[in-house]
Amino acid sequence: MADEMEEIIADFVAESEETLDRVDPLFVELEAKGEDQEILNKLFRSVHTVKGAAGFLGFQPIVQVAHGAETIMKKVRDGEIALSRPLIDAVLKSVDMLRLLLRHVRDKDRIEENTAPVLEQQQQALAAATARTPEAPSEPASGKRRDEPREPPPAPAAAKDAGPAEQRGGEQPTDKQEALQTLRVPVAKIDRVMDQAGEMVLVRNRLLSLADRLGKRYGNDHDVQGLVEAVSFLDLVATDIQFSVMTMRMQPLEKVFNKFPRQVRDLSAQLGKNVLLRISGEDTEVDKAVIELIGDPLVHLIRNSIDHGLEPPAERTARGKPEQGRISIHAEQRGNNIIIELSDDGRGIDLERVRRKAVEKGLVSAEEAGRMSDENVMGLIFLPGFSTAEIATDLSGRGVGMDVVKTNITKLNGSVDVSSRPGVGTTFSIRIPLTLAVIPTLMVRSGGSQFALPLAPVEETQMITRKDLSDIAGMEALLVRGRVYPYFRLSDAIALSRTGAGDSRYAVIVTLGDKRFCLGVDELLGQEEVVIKTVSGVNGTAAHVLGATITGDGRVVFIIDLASLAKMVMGMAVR
Amino acid sequence: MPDPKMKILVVDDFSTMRRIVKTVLKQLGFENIEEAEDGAQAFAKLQNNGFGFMVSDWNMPNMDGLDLLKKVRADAALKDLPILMVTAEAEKDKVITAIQAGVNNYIVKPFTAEVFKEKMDAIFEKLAKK
Repeated sequence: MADEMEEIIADFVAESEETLDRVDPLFVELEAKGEDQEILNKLFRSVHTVKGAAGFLGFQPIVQVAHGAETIMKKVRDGEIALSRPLIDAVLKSVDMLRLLLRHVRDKDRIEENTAPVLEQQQQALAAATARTPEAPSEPASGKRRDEPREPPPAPAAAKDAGPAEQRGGEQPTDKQEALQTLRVPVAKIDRVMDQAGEMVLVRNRLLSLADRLGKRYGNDHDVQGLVEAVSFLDLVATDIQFSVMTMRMQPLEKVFNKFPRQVRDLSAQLGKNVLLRISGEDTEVDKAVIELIGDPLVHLIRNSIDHGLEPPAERTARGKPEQGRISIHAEQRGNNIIIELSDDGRGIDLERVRRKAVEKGLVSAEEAGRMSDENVMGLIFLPGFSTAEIATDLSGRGVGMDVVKTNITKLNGSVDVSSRPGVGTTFSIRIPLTLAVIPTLMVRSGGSQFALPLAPVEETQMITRKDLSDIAGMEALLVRGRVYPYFRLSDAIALSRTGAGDSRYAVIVTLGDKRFCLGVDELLGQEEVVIKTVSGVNGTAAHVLGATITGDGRVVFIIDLASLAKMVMGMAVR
Repeated sequence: MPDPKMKILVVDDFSTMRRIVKTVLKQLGFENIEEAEDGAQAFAKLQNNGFGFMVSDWNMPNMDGLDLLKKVRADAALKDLPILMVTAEAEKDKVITAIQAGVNNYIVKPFTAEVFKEKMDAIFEKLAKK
């Protein structure tokens, strides 16, 4: 029974959070459309249901805060008061508080929030609205659907987010079963299945090669033919299973995008800008890990666009642009990648200014900056310590941000590109692989063994000879276009072997956040997409190993953890 | 008291609430429970499925509890289905409407298993007298 209760509470938190996540975008929609009965009812229902369940579970603070918000929504819905800014603010604040309270429930940290200010704000907003409303509604957009019958509450006509539920009006609902055919499954369980599927793939690979050999040797044997056939069928099934499990971890980007309308609303109000946000492709599905990591970089890019990209309304009018700035976010799946594009129609990135700034900050030499292509100059904005804002504002321009954007995306094995036209706007284009279980790698050989390096942080490769290396304070270093990078042979760095120094023929230049270094390898074998398998019994961090994979020819190859390697390498360089 | 094998439909758009109601029903010894997410889905499920009792929330998308109630009462095959309506206190003033529309009883959130049992017993005792 106690377990049952725990489960119910966990479900309650998850479901309430999902419900509240839908509230923010609804408000933004409401502000655009005016008092839309359907939206008002949805808003009412959101807080109402959370309150109802919280009551059962004895979470009184949640009940109180939700009750206040619900009262406001009910009065607005029933036309008793007109919607106003203070009311919206009070409800949004309440929703924020509810989220906080839910988090405490989930974390079981027993922290008690002071809900008094929020409850107070609700009361005041309500009192002000009630005083104002007796006769004509004061908001211009209000009164739209006042004449609709008030009781019973009008059932919203086929809500567009009603999900798989049926279309209203049809007497004979068709896909009635669908909506209930979802299960909440803990991620850990799915991950276990994923692991086991990977395990099975390894066994399959082994079987494949055995069957192949047997087939060659005893090709005429009836049983061997049967075996070869069965194994090749297993091959297909195993691949399918692995793919199916991967898709189980996928969630729509909506989960992240839904937070943006509210953020854009708050930010643009704060900065005195008028912004129209357009979101499309929010139903694109990505791995859960992507959902968790992509939010921050996107928020940062949006802030940047509002703060630096979009001009103030007066300036826009003077330039003959519509007064309202536009930011659009679009997501789609292209092949094995997810593309997220974020564009604004602001002033664009001033390349000359970027060049100047980068030189000033000592990120590149003046001569280097002059020689760089426009595309490369654009890339400078992602360097740590770069910021073009003259004065650090509250929101962006602290020079920590763009590099974080890049670092987070690199963590997801993705990449980000910028294109910009002065006066027309800027577009950031983020590319992320569909699944994190398959990553593009650079296959190399070092110290006699083959390794896979995740491709995303690899900046470039170069052929080198002994004389390209110089000795700086007892450490080896490589000079690349006038810049010095710490240099290590890969096999030395992972303490694999120490067979003489400096006989590597290639340098792989790696950039990870603010860390840059070169890895010496003997041979570049080419690019390969590999499936990561976790290796048990090996301390991944200590060994600088992300996992292992099996190459097409059946060899087990370690995938190097460049981030952990970077930490170790840079630590040594500092010492 | 009704047969513990009786088939019961729990209607609520919030899955946590469905779970809570189900837990209460299980405490009372009922095991044969199905769920629906809104009135429309519930009405579809009720067709020819031999349900003996329905517990429905009021405020739901697509078709709310009141509309569902009216639809059930207007349906020749379903019109006698005992229905317990779950309401919040915000909807208390509308309970009259539900009673006029033919609900057997209502219960205000949050409730305990005991109160739920009382309401259920009241419904089935009344029916037995008829």
